[in-house]
Order: sequence, then C-alpha cells, then structure tokens
Amino acid sequence: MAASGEGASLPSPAGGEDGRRRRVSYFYEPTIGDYYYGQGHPMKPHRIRMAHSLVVHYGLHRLLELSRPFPASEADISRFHSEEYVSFLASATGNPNILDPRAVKRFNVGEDCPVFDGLFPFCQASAGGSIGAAVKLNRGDADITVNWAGGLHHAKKGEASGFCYVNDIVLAILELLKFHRRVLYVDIDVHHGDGVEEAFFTTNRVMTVSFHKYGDFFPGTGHITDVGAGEGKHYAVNVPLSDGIDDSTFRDLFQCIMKRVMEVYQPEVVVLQCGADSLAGDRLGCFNLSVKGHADCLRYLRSFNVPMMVLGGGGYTIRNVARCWCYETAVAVGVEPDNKLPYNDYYEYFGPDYNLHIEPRSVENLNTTKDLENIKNMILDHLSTLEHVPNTQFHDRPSDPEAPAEKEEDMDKRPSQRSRLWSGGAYDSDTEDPDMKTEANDLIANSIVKDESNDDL
Amino acid sequence: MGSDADPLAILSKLQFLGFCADLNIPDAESADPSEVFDAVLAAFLREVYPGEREARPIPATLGDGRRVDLLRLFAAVRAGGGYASAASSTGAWAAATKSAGLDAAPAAPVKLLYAKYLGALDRWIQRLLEAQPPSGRTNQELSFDANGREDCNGRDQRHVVQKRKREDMVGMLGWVRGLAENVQEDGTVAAGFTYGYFSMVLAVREAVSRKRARRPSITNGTLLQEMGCKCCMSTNGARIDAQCSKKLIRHHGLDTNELTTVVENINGTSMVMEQERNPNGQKRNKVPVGSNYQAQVPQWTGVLPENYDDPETLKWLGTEVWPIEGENRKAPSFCDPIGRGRDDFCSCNLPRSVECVRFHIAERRFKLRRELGSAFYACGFDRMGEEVALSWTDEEEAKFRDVMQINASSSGRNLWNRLLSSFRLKRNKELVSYYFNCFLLRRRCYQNRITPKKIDSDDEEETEFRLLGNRLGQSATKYHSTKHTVCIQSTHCMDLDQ
Repeated sequence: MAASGEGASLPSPAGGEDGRRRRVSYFYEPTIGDYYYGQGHPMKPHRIRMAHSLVVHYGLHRLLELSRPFPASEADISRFHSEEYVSFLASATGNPNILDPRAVKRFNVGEDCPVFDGLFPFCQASAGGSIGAAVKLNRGDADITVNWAGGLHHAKKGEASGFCYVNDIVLAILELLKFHRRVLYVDIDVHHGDGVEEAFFTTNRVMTVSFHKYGDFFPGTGHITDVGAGEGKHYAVNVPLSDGIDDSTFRDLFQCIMKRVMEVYQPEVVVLQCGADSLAGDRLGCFNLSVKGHADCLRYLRSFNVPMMVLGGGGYTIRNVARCWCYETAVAVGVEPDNKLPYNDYYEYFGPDYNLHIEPRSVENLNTTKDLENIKNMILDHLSTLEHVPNTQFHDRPSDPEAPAEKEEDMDKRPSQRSRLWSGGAYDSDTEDPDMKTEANDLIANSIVKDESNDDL
Repeated sequence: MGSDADPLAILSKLQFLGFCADLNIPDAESADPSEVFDAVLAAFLREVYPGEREARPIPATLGDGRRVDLLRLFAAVRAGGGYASAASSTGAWAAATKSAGLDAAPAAPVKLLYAKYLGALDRWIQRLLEAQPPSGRTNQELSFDANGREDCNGRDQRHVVQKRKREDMVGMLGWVRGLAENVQEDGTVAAGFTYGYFSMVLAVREAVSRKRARRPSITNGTLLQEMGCKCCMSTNGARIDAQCSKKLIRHHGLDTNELTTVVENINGTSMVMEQERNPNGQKRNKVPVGSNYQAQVPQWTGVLPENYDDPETLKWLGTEVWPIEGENRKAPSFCDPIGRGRDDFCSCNLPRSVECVRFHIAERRFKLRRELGSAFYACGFDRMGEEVALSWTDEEEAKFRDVMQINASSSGRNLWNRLLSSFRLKRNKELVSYYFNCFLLRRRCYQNRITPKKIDSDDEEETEFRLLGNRLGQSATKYHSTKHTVCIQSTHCMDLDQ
C-alpha cells in the first residue's frame, strides 16, 4: 500500500516496485510474554505478546510466514559476546540466589538490568529470532523479516546495559555479513543505539545511523561528531535530537538523511530497530511521534526495496508499543488497517478509545528549525565524504575484494569533521548535567515523583 | 552482629527489604530501645502475617506470664549466628535465654516464642547477610555508582547513566531556581503548582532537614556502602534493587552531602556530581575501541558460504507455525478481511459494557481458533487474555487481589515474594501470566469505564485500584487445565458496585 511516506527515487537493486507485495517472515516466541524483569521495572516483554495478539486479530498473519525461533546457544551468543559474560548469563538465571558480587558488578547487572527468573532463555529467544531473521534474508526466503523480541541495542560485548543483555542485532548483522557486503543499521529508538555502534565502530561493512535524544539522557553517547574510527570512520552517523520532536519534523530529517545514506552507502540489506519509546507519551521517552509518524520510517526504508530486517527495542508505555508494532507489521505486509481495533485478548488495555492510532501530545518541540538545519547540514556534509570514495567500491560485484585502506586514506585527506564541530548550540548550553540528574534522581525523584504517563487520549 | 541489638539498624534493614516502608518512629534516640523494637516488630509482623493481628500480642509473655524482652532475646540469638545456628546447638538456647534476662526459664518455650515472634525477622536478616557478606566491603564496591567499572574492561570514563526517566526532579529544581531569581512572578509560582513541584519541594526539604534520628551507630560512609552494595549484590536483585534509590532517601543520614549538592545546584553551582563521578572532567562519552568492545568482522572476500543448507544453519529457521504446511492458505469465508477493525454496532443489551466486550472477544477467539487450527495453540493464544483465569479458583483470585491490595498500601516491593508465599502451588510464571493477562486487564477495564482520564497499563505502583466484574461468577465453568479449552461465552457476573 503506497503511502505518502514513500518517495524514494533510488532505483531499487531488486528491481521491484513499491506496491509489490513483500514476502514477510515473522518470528514470535509464544512464551515471551511471561518473562518478567521485576516489580516496577519498565521493560515488559508482555508488550510483545500484546502486539502479536493485535497482529493476528487484524488477520495480518494471512500475509505472514510465522515461525517460532530456535533458541540461540551459548556458543552462538559468543560469536559477539565475551565467553565469560555469556557463561555468567547462562548460569546466573539457574541460581538467582548465588550471584557472585564481583560478576554482578563486572557485567553491570543490577538496577537497570536485573538478573530475573528465566533471563537466559529470554535472551536465547530474542537472539534466536533475530539470527533466524538474518538467515531467512541470507537464503532469500523473505524480503522483510520481523522480530519484535529483538532490537536490544544497548548490550555490549562484555556487559549488560539499559535493559539489554544479549545484543541480538549484532549477532544478526554478523550473520548477514556472511552474504552481504554492506549492512545498514538504522535505529529510531529514543535512546542512542550505542551497543551496535560500538560493535561496528571500526568497520565500514556496517554503517550505523541512530536518531535519538541526546543530552541528559541515557546512555550519554551518540554525539553528532562520533563518526566511527579506523576503517569505520564516517560509517557511524548520529542524529542527536531534543525533546518533543513531532511527526513532520522527524519525517523530514529522517527522509533527507536516509535518502542520502542509501545513495552513498548502497547497502545490500537494511536492519531497522523500531524502538517504540520514541512515541508520544512513552514512560521513559520524550519524543512526540504518533504511531503513523514512527511507522513512516519503516515505510520509507521499505520503499527502497532492499531486503530488510525489522526489530523491536525500547518502548515502555506498553499499549502504545503494541499499537506501534502491530501497525508496523501491517506496513511491512502493505496493509492499512482500520483505526478501530478489533476485539482481541488484550482489548481493555487499549481503552478508553480502543483505537490503533494515538494522537501526539501538546508539548513543545524543542528542536528549533535552526538546530535541525544545522544537524542536517552537518550530517549531509559528513556523508558527502563517503561519496568521494571511488565508486567501484560500491558498484563492484561481491566477488571483488574491496580496498578499504585506500578509501581510508582518501577520507583522511579531507578536512577533519571535528574542526566543524557543531559542539556549541543546543548541547553545551544545557544547564543540567546528565550525571547530576541521575544522581539526584537516584536519591530523590523515585520516591516522590509519580509516573504520569497516562493518557494517550 | 552489633547492629542486631539496635532497633533502628534493624528497621533500616527491613526498609531496605521493602518492609515497614512508612514506619516513622518519633524521638527514636531518646526512647527505650526495647519499646522501639517492639514497635518495629509489630509493624513488620503486620505485613508478614496480614490478617493475623491477634496471633502475636506484644509485649510477648511466656506461659508463666513473665514478659520477654524481645530485643535482648533477638540480639542474643543473632549474636550466636541466628535461629538456624542456635537450633542445631543444644547449649545455645540456654545461653540466649540467660542473656535475655530469663535466667530460670526453660529453653524450649523460649525457643518456641522466638520462632513465633522473631523467626520471620531472623530469616530476612539472615538472607540479607547471606546476600551480602560483611567482609571485604571496601570503597570499591561503591564505585558501582561513582566511577563504575574499573575492573570491568575500562569503561570507567563513561558515566554510568541509568535509563529510567528522571525528568520531573530536574523540572522542580529549575522551578525553584527560577523562583529564587524572580521572586514576584506569579506566573512562575502558578506553573510550579500545576506540575506538582511544590509538593516535591516540600518532600525534598523534609528529606534534607530531617534529623539523623535513625542511625546513631552507623557512619554515613558505611551505610552508603551497605546500600550501594546491596544494589548490585542483592540475591534477588529483581525484587529489591529498584528500591535502593528510594531507600537512600529514607536513610537521610547518609545522603545529606548529596542533598546539599542538590541544594547547591538550585543556587546555580551545579556540576558537583559531575566532578565526583567523573574525576577527569570529561563530559562526552567516548566510544571505546579495542578487541574487548568491537565485534570481529571478517574482511569481505566475496566468497559466499557453501554449506548454507546444513542443519546448523537451517535450525535458525525455527518452527514454522503458520501457514500450516499442506493447508490451503485461502482464508475461510467466516473470516473478516485482513486489516478489518471492530464493528461498534452490536445487538447486545448493553453495548460496550464489560459483558458485551467479553462476548465479542470470546466470539473472535472462537473464529480465530477455527481459522488457525493447531496454530492457535502454537502461537500461545490458549494462554492469552482472561482465559488464563479459568485455571484459577475464585478463592485464588480473591487471594491474589488481596495480596495486591496489601502491597499497594505498603508501597514496598515485596509483591512477588508475597505472592509466591501465598500461592505455594503456583509457579512464578503462572503468577506473572495471571497478573498481565487477567489482573491488569481487569484493572484497565475498571479505569476505562470509571476513570477514563486516568488510565495506566504500566504503573504497577498504583495505590488505588479497583476491578470491575473481577470475579468469575458461580456459573462460569472451571477447568484445571486450559490446554484445549476455548471459552465460547463466559457468563461472568457483573458487579458494578464492587
């Protein structure tokens, strides 16, 4: 179903048309909803089950191939993560009462990343789905693969972070790299996709692009001038944003930047992390996107007709997460579902309006036109350094080995991006320091402030 | 074990565990420790044994009417290693009895009394100790907060930022600052009231100015350390950890410094925390480079893997659930078109009532099961929604609700411990499933109809909750296994006055 968001003029490598149906494969682990991070923890795997219920009650499964993922083993997970960390994860859940305090600290489990009952099987299911999604794309069995239990983008090689333990995205991309020379990773979670960026910071075979809130915000990385290192220099793109960004502003920026990225990088496969905490009214997020605005990112990237993997991620107002991921599943298969939700197992969660779409809130968009213009120019500028890379690099058949060293030299002759830092402006003028805020809140806020992420009416 | 003779230290441990959250003892320093202990114990017992108020009268007496000083008894037994250790040694009870000032008393009744009054307390304190061995507690443990992870692959330059939202506090501080600068602007004042900052300011002020009543014997440092350690070390971290931040504020004695910093920030001298946490003053986080951080990406050779059809690869395709192999993919005629939503018009007696909605959900599930066949179960639809309650008895559902209610009023974080101890025959997974599939759903059902402006599917700490039609009526059929059961029409009784 072609929609307004589709405007990519790039000739599709696959030669398909935008309106063409995509073969969509969807991974779902039926026990995922019963994993539980603990009382009061905002991350709720139940949201994946709610999304699934909506997907099937809309009848979208008739356009999907639905699979239950194969759980990733310790060895599979160790393809990215350090062995000590993986064996800790695998053993920690078995014996939640005998945790080595040193390991707890070393692997950063604790407040944000508790060791909960069933932690490892949860990670196995999440990673197994994403690796499965990669294998399907590698085999050419599907055009789009979906795993809403994936997208856990903060997990690092040797430690947990931000509710994420196993980085299913990195594992999936490693699998994709067996068949694809260049993989593009796009992240629209409100938090910076730091785990994925870090994992591929020094390679040009993966380009990471993250749109996120920056400044006083977890995880604190993702500055516009972080562009990668070594061979990977200029292959990490960070789009730092402020609170309250709305559909139209986000869409303009996203499409403008992604169009350029697709042109200059010409990825053979795209991985999109659809963290739903960038929606309006998220319990932890601060953006102001509607479900449609969020899904427009998927719609736009889909229109390039490049094989694509669609993953979940953050999202803490669970009824909206379910709405969003259901709608995005519909966008993947090319259906525009009715706004009135069908009766479904979790119908009451969606009251009192029981609609699919949510209205943005009346909050101020702190991203000024000038800021956005600066960001856009700086990133386009930075992308233009890639354009000067010899074209052969991109147009070669996969059988030609690339020559990254040459390219690196070429890029290094260009004026350093750091000299054009857009370091002033919005960020440094922030009076609040992220550390201070965290500390202050550890001490006080939680005990006083009542969460009011209530009405998406 | 000295802290086990100090009722305030015991209270702080209990509060750390989530008990006695609201207990506040005035003039604790001047009061008789035994009386303070009795008050703490009474509050604790009320939470541990809800509804058994009369079973453990305080002050406690032996059969012959002699009063027992519970604090001294507790301290004596704890000094000997706690109930578990004392129980295995014959002389221990005699010694404990003696040091509790009950010279001539026989050991057996004292032991019984201990088990009855102090057993639960003993177990919790013991658990806490085991979770956190007292030895080797150095400042390093604290670095969890301060500068993080020096022994964990050098990420120490990055400040450890927690992910959960901390917006409102900063908003409040901004408001206070603005107010201080422009004393006479009514608009600013009004804005603060709108966002509820005023009450927050009062709470902060209270926290800052409260006396250090509760911990005369523990220095700030060790306590902070204790709290910090437990954050990362607690055995059942999932249940306790999130409290730490909350608890710290209660132990105001230790956080005066931090709060002073907050107050200084109000005056405009900010960044004190930054200096403390980030000694090198680096503001931006750098991405670390090295083999400990990056994934190993092979150079592109252009040679594709050959054995991509081997079982090791094919396993990743998982189990195909839908479409069912060999079956016609064409949707049966009774199915709604793809993407079709609900029809708001129906011939139910009370459209959009709980009963009407339940009927339509059941109807849809019935259709779905016909369409999906075995995939209905493979997708887990038999374990979704209110149908999960079919394997619960009315009594169990009532008990679940009661435990939730008690928890809501105590604001502790022991919900799941309590649920597990109340439902010994149910596994954790079943309780979680019931919670999301039935309990929250019914709470939302109530909110949608009674308080539609104030809905929340996520906040578990909501203190006020009610349920509509929360009990399945007598006529509802019960099954012990939900496996191949589909609820075609539940005849739930509605009780709007519930």
